[in-house]
Amino acid sequence: MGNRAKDEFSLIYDQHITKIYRFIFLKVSSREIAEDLSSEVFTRTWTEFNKQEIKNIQAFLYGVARNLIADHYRVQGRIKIVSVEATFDIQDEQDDLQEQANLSSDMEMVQKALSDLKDDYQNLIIWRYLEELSVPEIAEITGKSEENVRVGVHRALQSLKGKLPMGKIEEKV
Amino acid sequence: MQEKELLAKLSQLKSIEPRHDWVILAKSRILGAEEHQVLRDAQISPVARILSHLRYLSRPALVIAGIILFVLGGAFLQAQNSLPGDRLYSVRSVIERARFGLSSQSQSLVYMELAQRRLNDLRKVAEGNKVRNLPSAIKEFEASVSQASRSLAQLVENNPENALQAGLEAVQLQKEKSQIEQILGTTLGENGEELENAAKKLIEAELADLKTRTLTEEQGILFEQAKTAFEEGDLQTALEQLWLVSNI
Repeated sequence: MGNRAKDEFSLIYDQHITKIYRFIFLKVSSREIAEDLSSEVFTRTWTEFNKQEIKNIQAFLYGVARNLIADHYRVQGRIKIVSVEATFDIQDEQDDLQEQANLSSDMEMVQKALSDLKDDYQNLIIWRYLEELSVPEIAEITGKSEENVRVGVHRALQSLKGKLPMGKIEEKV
Repeated sequence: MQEKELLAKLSQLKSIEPRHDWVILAKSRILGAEEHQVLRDAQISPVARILSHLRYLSRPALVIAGIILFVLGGAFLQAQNSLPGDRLYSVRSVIERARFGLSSQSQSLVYMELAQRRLNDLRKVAEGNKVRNLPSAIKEFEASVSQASRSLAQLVENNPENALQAGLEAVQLQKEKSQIEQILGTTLGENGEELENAAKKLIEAELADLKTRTLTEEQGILFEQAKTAFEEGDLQTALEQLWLVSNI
């Protein structure tokens, strides 16, 4: 494990930490848990990074993150993602005041709707519209065909619209 | 709201970002944990070493020695996966102590690492509902935390400049302990207090030391944040800020 590996991984960390943190935060709705899990994602990836070549680091990071989130909910005995409203009640006030303040009511509504989607749809929406990953990139992460990803993204967006209490939304695909 | 508007709202969720301080600290922890990782990886290497000797199969004496080594290697591996309360656990405990005894880490960090391992054992026992192993796992964990606390207290007194990393590990350990207490639905002895007291002493010593030094503006802000966090009982943040003061 030389300095070169450290430098390389340091760069990977800088490039992906925010995306991975955000991905986890949107699913656990707690800064503290998101920090713990994000840290674990990079610790495990660093271990693997030193053992073998990781072909697609982004896909690997998201894969580890998804497993850790699943483990988290398994241990907590919860299967559903906590909604924004519910979270605001239980979150550490000090932790999230700033994030709450930054969220407009529309954003809150969208985040809540997002948290109500099934897990696969949440992932697709986050990757496609928040992180602006390309369809081939998402296909790499999910292991699905590009066509399946396109259909999935379309359905996920439809489902998100259905969760929003704002009447019909015009679609522009 | 048009779809375009919806997508705009979605992209506003990008404002969710991790704390800058945490990003730096987590990176340092992950890359700094290299030595610990080498020790973890070393659990696998004995088997690789045994297998590499198979080329001597044409020599009977070496074959016998190889078989013995292989059997011992199997027992060694089984011991590695044992939990407190299992028959082979004492073997694992001896191996771990011997291995850590040879490492170049400071003693306090070694004890922290051992306590972390006992906590991981306890987590496995709790999550796997292994009732038989529970009393031994709790006992082992409490003993290792007690040892780690004493060692941290000594480090604070004798070598305070090297105590911050151990302090951070201590607070992390305390946090994980609370999570396991939630799973178990019970508190785990008084050792947490011992660990917390050692961390408090460390923070007090660091704050007092930094007060006598000339700090940059950024260090001054971090110092004040550490002080406030300590006064509010948030030991983890206090230690993180102090660590940053020394490392920016």
